This record gives sequence, structure tokens and C-alpha cells, in this order.
Amino acid sequence: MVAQPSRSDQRELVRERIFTAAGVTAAVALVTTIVLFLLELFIASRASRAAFGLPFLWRSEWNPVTEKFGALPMIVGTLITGFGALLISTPFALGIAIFLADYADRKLAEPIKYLIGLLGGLPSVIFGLWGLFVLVPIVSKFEVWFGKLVGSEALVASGTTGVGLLAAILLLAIMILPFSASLILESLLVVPTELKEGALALGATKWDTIQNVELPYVQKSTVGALVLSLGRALGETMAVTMVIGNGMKMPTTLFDPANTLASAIANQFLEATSPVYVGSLIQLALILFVIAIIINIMARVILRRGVQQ
Amino acid sequence: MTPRKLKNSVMGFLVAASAALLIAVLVVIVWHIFISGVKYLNWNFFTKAPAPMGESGGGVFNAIVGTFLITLVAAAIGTPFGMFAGIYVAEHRGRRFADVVRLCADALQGVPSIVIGIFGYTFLVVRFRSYSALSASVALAFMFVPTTTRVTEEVLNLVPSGLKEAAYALGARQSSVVWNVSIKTAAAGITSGLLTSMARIAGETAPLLFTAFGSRYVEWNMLRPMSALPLQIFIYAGSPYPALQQQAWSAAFVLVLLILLLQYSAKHLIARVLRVKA
Amino acid sequence: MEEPVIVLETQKINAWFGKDQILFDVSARIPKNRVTAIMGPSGCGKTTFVRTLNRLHQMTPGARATGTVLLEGTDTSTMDVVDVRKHIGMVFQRPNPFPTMTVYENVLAGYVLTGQRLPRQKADQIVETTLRKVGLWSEVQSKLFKAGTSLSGGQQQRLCIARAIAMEPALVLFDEPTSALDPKSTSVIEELLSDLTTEYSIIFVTHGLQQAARVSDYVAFFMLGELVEFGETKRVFVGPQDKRTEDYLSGKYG
Repeated sequence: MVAQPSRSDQRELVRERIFTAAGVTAAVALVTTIVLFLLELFIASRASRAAFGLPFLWRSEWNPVTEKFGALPMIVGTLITGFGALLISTPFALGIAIFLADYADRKLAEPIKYLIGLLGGLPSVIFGLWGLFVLVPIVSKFEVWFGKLVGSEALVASGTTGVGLLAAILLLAIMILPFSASLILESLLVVPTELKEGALALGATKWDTIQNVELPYVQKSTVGALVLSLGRALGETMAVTMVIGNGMKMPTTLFDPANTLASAIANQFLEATSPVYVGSLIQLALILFVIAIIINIMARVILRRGVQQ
Repeated sequence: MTPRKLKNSVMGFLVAASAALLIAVLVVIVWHIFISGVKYLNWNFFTKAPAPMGESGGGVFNAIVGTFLITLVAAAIGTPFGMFAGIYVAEHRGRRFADVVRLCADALQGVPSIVIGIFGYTFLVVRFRSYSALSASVALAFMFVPTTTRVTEEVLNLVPSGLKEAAYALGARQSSVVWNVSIKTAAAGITSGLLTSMARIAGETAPLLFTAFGSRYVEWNMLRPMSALPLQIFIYAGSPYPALQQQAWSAAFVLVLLILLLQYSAKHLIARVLRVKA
Repeated sequence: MEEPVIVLETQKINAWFGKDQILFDVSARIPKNRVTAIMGPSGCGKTTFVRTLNRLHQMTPGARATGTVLLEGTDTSTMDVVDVRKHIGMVFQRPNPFPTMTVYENVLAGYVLTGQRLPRQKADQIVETTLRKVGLWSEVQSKLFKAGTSLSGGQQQRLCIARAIAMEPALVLFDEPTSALDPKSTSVIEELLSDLTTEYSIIFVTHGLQQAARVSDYVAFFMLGELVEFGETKRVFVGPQDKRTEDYLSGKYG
């Protein structure tokens, strides 16, 4: 019974050590990556940070020619497209989720869910392709018509190309729709049947039940889902890049070409030559990175409070 | 009809209408890709590299090769990191560091793809002074790892504890239990997750813009700039030549097919293959 | 009366889950090549006791145990836990053959999982011998390479017994192994036990009085974490020495 480690047991011990080391290495690597990202972006943007300092965040001039850069037009563009897309898509996302959770029977719901997955899985660049060649001409027609309707020369002028904030908002709304719809659907499906049946037994209509029982039940997780969708929208790059028009100036109307933090980088990085230009674009990436982390934390906090209910 | 009943009907209608709208939008987009894309799907398209400037013909073989290589290498890099991180988090459930790891995986998943691309550029391209497919694969691996970690952790947690106990009771060490019992039992789920993640990174463009950069030539060397389908679509879409714009649609068609194929494998083939083996 | 040879001795085992103490100073001497039943009302610590022997108990977060376990004279705390488990086998309440392994592979699972490679001939021999010992050989001979989970519940449990004894342990722990099985499978397994004792020693945790009386040579009665009485089954059932044992036997605790 005395334990003499056999050859096979020695092999097992070595395997155990390697396995454990691999696990720890991967875990540590993951944690280090976030820090590494932050550091790398911070260091690589030093030319721009040195030139503009903290005011970079609220400077509204972005001029590659005079080499004067400021992030405000991009930040504004990001916020407008992000919140705009969220505003437009949320009612539809709610509608679809409620439809699938409460109205559609299984034979109808399964294919629709599949289609939602399909739409959500389409690459951003393909949305951009469709947006550029199909959506933008339509938006352009609308913008010119609208400009003429309100008698604004400026609006008609900026509307002729079709690219700009409005096109980006619409495209983005379509893109985050499947994502927010499926998140909300997930939380609706968790609502206990007994609650719903209890309300119906009291004489409530289907919609009464939805409005007064289900929706309040999923309030917190819905808000969390919307925050996550906003995060998605804020980080979207290719589709937005292809339809937003690469505007350098602060947009004044929805018809104006503009840029988001992401699209500015995608549109201009390869042409940027001077260290200040490149550094400024990298600073935009840094700002975007920080925004993404903050949204991620916000979503977690909201969702955790929702679970604790 | 009482006001409540009216409201009920109206809301029911609106709700169904949103679903119909979603389907309509999807159909429109997919239809357009199909109709426009099919026009240029010929043998040349799949087997030739882009034609010299101004000449007609040519295809996207360079992009197809590029997508294959870059995606596979990214998955090869990301899978061990993702799986081992997932194993670590699953085996150390409840410990603080495991929670931190999970948090970081989530955070990394939320990083916008363009930021990943910029990181790939400053970290690799600048350092090695050249655009390369490998730097693109590394950038994509950063997007591949978080989803792999999460899938691995979730699937491992589903393995019944009775099985693990039986293995420990036989004298197995933790690494043996995890590998021979947990991973093998969860293999279908993990592989499915890997394929789904591959489908996702195959469609990414932003991380490739400043790393792989693109190339007009068919390239097999990972250390050189390389094209890829999403990249080619982006470049062609922005070009002033209608012939190239047409190719953008066809390339989009091919890309969608590839992604659908990967997703289909993830769902159906894996379960079928692994069940047959047993 | 001759003192039986002891295969395992525990000295003052105490066990906790977090702050709750489950076992109180359990000291027992388990005879070799016999079936020792562990009986008692629900929650009395039977399963916990048995799991401290192969150190499974200590794997639960927050679980703790003190005391000494002597396996054939050796203090198991001086042994690598992996070795302890190679000498003490376990069969669980719910049959748990590995679903990704065939019947054949399940029998040899102990070897595979501990990295011991067997030449093909030896492996075949172990599989056949072990399956014969549990009476499964004729039933599964044609199904050796089907999944372990393709067998019926009773067969699966016998497969798990085979898996445990394939490692030639000195002692096998059975934790209520028939509670998830139908009566026919239950009696098949009960009949196995006396055959198995020619080579192995068995600790058999049971929920039912009748089962304890049927299968065991010795019996340990647990209540509220204490080992109340221990002795030859015949003697304990006919003339219990502790009032609590008497009450349990007459059905007072159910």
C-alpha cells in the first residue's frame, strides 16, 4: 500500500501540471489583453494627445489640411446615429418580441426566429453594400422631396447625395433590430405562465396581460437589452462607414454627411500621413474603446439588478 | 366593442405588423443580394484573381483564398486560448479571479471591431513593418476568443456532476476528468460554438482594413498582405467602376453562402457526426 | 468469537458542510471480504461518511473532514488522493456510465482516466473477466462496442460495478446503488454481492432495513451523524444493544 508513483502516474502528474498551466495562462492572457489594448492605444496616440490635450474631446474642428483635430463632430455623430437607431428600432423590436412570445404559434415562430438569426448574422459590410446602392438612393429621393417641401435650399443640397446621418440611422436601426428583438424575446419567454394565466383568468385581454404583467416583469432586462443594443450600434463600423458620407464638419441637419468615431477611422486611416493625423484617429479609437467599456459595465449593472429582483 | 377590446385588437395588429416589416426588410435585402449577385457568378469569378485595372473579367479567387486562410488561422490561434480560458472559468467557478476572467472576456467581446483593427495595426503591423494576413488573423483571434470562452464555459457547466464524480472516484486527476469526461461529453456543443464563431469572424471587415490590407494577387503567404471577401466587397463597393460594383454583389453572395454553410454545420452536422461515433 | 480481519478502520471522523457538522466522531472497523451495510434514517450522514473514505466529500466547496482513515493499515492522509481512489472503488446512486464511451471502454475507464495504457490482450481479458463477475458478459457480449448508455438501467449499474472492480480495489463503496432501479434489477445486484466478497470488501449504504438484512454480514447503524451501533447483522437485528437501534428496527423512524 505504500505509494510509489508509477511511470503512468508520473506522466499523469506532468499532464496535470501542463493542463493547469495552460488554463492559468489563457485566463491571465485574457485579463492582460484589456489592459494591453488600453496601453497600446494610449501610447500610439501620443502625437495627438501632446498637440491637443484633453480639449481634444470637445474641439469641434476636424481639418486634415490644417492639421487641427477635435473629436466632437465624431462624438456627436456617434451619439446621434446610435440613439437615433435605438429610438427607431426599439418599438419594432418590442413588437416582434411580443409577437413571437405571445401571438405566433410554434410553426410560425420557428421560421421567423431563424430569419431573425439570419438577418443578425449578415456581415456589416453587406449591410453597407445594400445601404449604399439601395437605401441611399431612396433616402436621397426622400431628402430632396422633403427639402423642397419645406422650401430649404440647404436641405435639398445636402440631400442630393443621400449619404449622411439619416441614411446611417436607418441602416443602423435595421442592423440592431434582430439583436434587440432576440434579447427582449429571451426575457419575455422567461415570464412564468402562471402569471399570465392568472391575469387572463381575471378577465384581462391578451394585450392587458402583456402591458400590465409581462412588460413590467421584463422591464429591467429590456433596459439592459437596449443598452447592449446601443453598444452594438455605437461600435458598428462598416455599414455606417459606407453610408455616412465621411463628413469632416460638425453636422447641422440629419441630411448632412457626417462621421462617427468608427467611420472616421475606417474612412481616413489609410490616407492619414502625419503623426498628428494618425494619432488623432487613434485617439478616436481610444475614446470609442472607453465608451464601449462603459456601456458594457452599465448593461451588466442593470442586468444584475434585474436578476436580483 | 369596448375600448379595451379595441386596444387589444389594434395592438395585436401592430405587433404582427412589426414582425411582417422585419420579414419584409430581410426578404428585400436577401433578394437583392441574390438577384444582383447571381448575375456575375461564373467560373472565372471563382477561380481568377482581379483583372488588371480597366480590363473586364477577373474574379475573387484571391479573396476566397484569403478568407479561408485568415479565418482558419484565426480560429487555430483563438481556439486553444478560448477553450482553456473557458475550462479555467468553469473549473474555478465561484472564485474571484474566475469572475474577473469572465468579465474581461465579456469586455473584450464588446470592443468595436475597428478598435481591434487599430490595435492589430499598432501592435503588429507597425512593429513588423508590414501588412500581413497573420496580423489580421491575430486581430480576428481577439474577437474569436471571448465567444469561445463563453461557449466552452456554458457547455462544460452542463456536464452532469455525477459523471465527473465517477471519474474522480476512479482516481482520475482534474486534467484527466476535464479532458476525458467533460470536454468529450461537451464536444458537440463546443464544436458548434467554434463554427458559429468562425462564421462571425469570416464576415468581419474592419479588423482587416489595416492589417491584411488587401491584395490584387492570389496570396498564400500569411506574412504578406492578403485579400479577403469582406475586404474585397468594401473596396469594390467604393470603386467608381460598375463592373467592380457588380463583383461586390457577387462576392457578397458568396460570403453569405459561406456563412450560411458554417452556421448549418454548426447546427446540424456536428450533432449528427458525434452521435454516429457513439 | 474470532475477530474478523479488518480492511479499513476509521478513527474519530468528523465532517462538516460549511458550519453544519454532519458526522460526529465516527470510529468503525470494516471487516475484510464481507458486506458491511450502513443504514439509518434520511439525513443521518451515511452518504457523507462513505464519501469521506475516498475523499469525495472534501471536494465540495466548503466541506471539511477530520479524523484518520486506515486502509489496510496505512493512513490514507499520507497517500496521494489518486492512490486512495485506486484502492477504494465507488458505485453511485444513479448509474453513471460515461456516455461518450462504449461498454468496453467503460469497463476500462479507470485505466484510461489514470493514464495507464494496457496492451490489447490484457484489456480484452480484463473486460471479459470483470463483466463475467457482475453477470453481464452474456448479456452484453454482442454490444461491447455500443455506447455505455445504450444498456438498460440495471445493466448500466452493473456496468458501473464492473468499472469499479476492474481496478482491483481492496474496498468498494456502494452508495444506495439500487434506489433508482426496478425490483428485478435490484435483486440481481443484491445477489451479486456475496460473489463479489470472495475478492473484494464491500460497504453498502442502504435506505431500507430489509435490504440491509438481506445483503449484509455486518451492519452499521447511523443516526444524526453518530455511529450508534455496529455488529454482525444477525446479532444486531435480533438483539440490538442501543435503544435507538431498537427503535429504528421497529419502524419508529421510518
